[in-house]
Amino acid sequence: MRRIGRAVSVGLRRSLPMAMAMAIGSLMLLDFFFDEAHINALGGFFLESTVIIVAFALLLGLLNVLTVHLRRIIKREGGWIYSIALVSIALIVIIAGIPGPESAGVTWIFDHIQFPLQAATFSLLAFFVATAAYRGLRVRSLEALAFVLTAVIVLIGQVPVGRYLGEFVPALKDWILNVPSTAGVRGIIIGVALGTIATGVRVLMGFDRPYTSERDSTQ
Amino acid sequence: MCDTPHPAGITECTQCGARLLPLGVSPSEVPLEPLRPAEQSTPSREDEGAVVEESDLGEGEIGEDVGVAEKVGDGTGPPWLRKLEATPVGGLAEEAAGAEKLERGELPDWLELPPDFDEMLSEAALIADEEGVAAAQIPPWLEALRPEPEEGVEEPAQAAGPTEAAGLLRGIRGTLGIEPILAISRRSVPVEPVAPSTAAQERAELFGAVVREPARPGVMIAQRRRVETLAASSARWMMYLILAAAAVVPILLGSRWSETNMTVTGGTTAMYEAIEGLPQGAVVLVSHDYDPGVAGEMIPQARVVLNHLLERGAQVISVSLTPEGARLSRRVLDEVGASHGYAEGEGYQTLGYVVGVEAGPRAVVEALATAGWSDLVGGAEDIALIVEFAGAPEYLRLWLEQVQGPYGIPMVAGVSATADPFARPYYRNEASRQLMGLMTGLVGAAEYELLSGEAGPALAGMDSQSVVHVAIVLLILVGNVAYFGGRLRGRKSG
Amino acid sequence: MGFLSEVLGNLGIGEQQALMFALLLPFFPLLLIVNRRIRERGRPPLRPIPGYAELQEYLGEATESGRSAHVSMGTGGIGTGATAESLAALNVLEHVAAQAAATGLDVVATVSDPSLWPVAQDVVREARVAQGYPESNDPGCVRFVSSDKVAYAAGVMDILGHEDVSCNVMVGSFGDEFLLISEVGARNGLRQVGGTTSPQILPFVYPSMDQTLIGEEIFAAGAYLLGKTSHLASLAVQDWLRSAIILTILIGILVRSLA
Repeated sequence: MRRIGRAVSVGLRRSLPMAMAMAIGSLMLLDFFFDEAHINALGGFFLESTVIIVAFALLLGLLNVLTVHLRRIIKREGGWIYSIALVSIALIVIIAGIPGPESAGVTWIFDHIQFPLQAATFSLLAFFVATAAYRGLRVRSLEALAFVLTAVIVLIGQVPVGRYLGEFVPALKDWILNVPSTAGVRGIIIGVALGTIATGVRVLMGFDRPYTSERDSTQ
Repeated sequence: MCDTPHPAGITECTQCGARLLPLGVSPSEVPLEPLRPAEQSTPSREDEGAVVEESDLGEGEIGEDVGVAEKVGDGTGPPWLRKLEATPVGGLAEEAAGAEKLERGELPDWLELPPDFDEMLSEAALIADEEGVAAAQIPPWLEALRPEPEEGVEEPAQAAGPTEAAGLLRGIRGTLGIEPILAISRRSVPVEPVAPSTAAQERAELFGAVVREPARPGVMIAQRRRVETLAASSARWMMYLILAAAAVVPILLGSRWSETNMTVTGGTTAMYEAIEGLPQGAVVLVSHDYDPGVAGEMIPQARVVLNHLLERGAQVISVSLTPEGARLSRRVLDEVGASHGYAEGEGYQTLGYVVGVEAGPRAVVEALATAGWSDLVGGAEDIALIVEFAGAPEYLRLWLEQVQGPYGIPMVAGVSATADPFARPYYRNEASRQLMGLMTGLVGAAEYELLSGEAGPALAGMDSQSVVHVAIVLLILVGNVAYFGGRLRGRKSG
Repeated sequence: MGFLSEVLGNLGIGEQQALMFALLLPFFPLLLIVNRRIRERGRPPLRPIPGYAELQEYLGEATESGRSAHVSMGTGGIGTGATAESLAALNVLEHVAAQAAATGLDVVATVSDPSLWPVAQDVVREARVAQGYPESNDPGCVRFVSSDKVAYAAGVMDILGHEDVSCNVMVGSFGDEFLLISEVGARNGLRQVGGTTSPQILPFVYPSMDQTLIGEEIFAAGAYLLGKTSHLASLAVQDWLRSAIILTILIGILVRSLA
């Protein structure tokens, strides 16, 4: 009896998640292509369920952050002072957000802390682009030469200085952006679309099972 | 025979009682000696140094000196021997006890050949020949294997084995010969090559990679990093200072060179004309889908376009697929609205952040049409234009796929500079004309300000951006000069 | 064509959706057929992708030096628009985790979307169990940093700058924060392999990474690194469909040019 139970349990553990994933995935696909009331209703239900599950996953993530940093504080590992700052600020924002996301506290935190910090961090991109260009855009091959020339022409042609150097500079920049750049981007987009479809089809057909452990997979 | 080794001089096996002979002597050369287990005294020591151990070897133990003879005679022999001694054998024991003691090399009477043995043999052979003594009988099934000899017919080759040439089994194939089997050397069977599994292959490659790598002590690694950090950080700080100066100095100097030397691209012009062509009171849906990271270039775009829309008398409905976009756009709307004397709800409406990014655009239009989110819109056909401010290309794609395609509503877009390569195919698509106009980055905002005739922060930043671009180009050139200089130095020294 | 449009319209399928359906439908039977063929005839030859080949070297260097390897799985998650990229990142993590479990290399994996965090943890744990070292599993090796992209970048920059990392692998869905992270890695002399599907981020990948995976190459991780039959089969099917698309484009060009 115990053996039968164990066999049933193993079978369910392997097949049930796969069956659910295939069934719900197929339903969502049908919902996208066909406009039928019952399918639409089911598809909408599963979409809403996903939002709820992702919200709980956010809670899990928050617990993980707090756990990692609390452990660092307790064990006095490197940078534990900053972990104290992180945990304190997280608790302050959580408490400030209790009245709601549009509350005065959250709005103040966003306007005076989050927005300036995000803008400042992204402003580092300009400096990092410069150092990356200095280090990475070296003419090691013909392809690299084409890359460097294109980068120089577009950088100069994008700003009014380019027109000052000559009418051909912005015209060349426009041609580069409209023709080879667009063509390359389209090619990459088509390839990425095929790869995305392949990934989805593998999950739909049960070849890929990221929702089960490896030892249950037959791959 | 139990193959138990014994030292020289021992004549009887202490385990099984078998008679032991010296190596090199065949059994026929040595006369049998009667076994005297009960009366045998302790074996004397031989010249070869046989060691006598007074241990009981009957239990299978082997002493340190191999082939130890046991001490007998006083009842301490092996168990089988003690059993034999204990078992009464009747007259046999008496006979054995009374038997004559044989000399060395002397056979007992019952083994000795009679003097007329040879005569008896020859007579028996004659009798067998005369009387036809029957051969020893073999079972009928074995007899059936003996082939009938046929004249003139060659027996086909069979794989049954050799034919016995003599003895009772003469003529029968397939009998088991002892000697050939013992003499045949075993041929090794070639083993089929086994293909290693993928996992084993990977592990082997990893092991090979690890073994091939030269050993590098940890201390050396740390020292190398420190030296590189010092040199690299100096160059890096120089670049940062150059860039900072390039960005700040034109602003401090109040330079307006770009205003007079700037050209407007076709995409921005098309966007301006699309908004310029709107009738009075047209409903325009504006979506602010950007985060603070790209707000530096998106907010000037939003400001100048919203200004143009309110100037044209359009009814603006503002939404956002990102929470940050909703907050940032509210500030811009309030500023621009106030400059035109509008309050919330008069010339514009803010619907805020729409939850569910993936289905957001479609949900917005359907809600506007059916759920009465706005009094201005009764259906999707009431929306004259969609203006999308996309900080990332996925937001633009969502609006194009879910609203512009299915509903066919005209659409223009302002995108960040990094999203431009993705957005451009939609503007260049002359067949379906998905985007009627496209504005890119801070440059696009500056171009729009130029077209509008109202200089704003975008135009003011153009000189700074121009100098920064030139600085980056110079850094690229300097980097390549340093690279080729290093290679030339390497060749000369090498 | 009009009849077809009417039929499709009655079924509730728009024209664009019909085109998508036509592209999606051949995948299912082709994948089955090619998967079976590969099982019968063996693995087909693949063109070398330097990013995956060099990844082995970098992991070996990290093992030799006793430092750790960092895997950044991007800012996407399961159930978002970047699910495919996140699954590709999971394949890379699976390979790195298997190598790490076999050689004792420390791995740090960072995620930005909380939906990816438990799946990544499971992948790392299963790798250790498969190698026979379940007790060596450290739940803290997979870290959820932040769902905000900038905060995620700042957290990973801290890890690369202050923890003893030798090798940095960045595969998944990234935005502009890619350059923030990769530049810190380059500054600290880390060996870096990275790739993303976003065309606007690829210019950041090339100058800052030692090896680049361009676009759909990240979806080939399961075939190149793990050797899974279904991944090899889907690569083959993608190639066939890509050829069909190229042929259609060429025919379309000819028709439009001649018309």
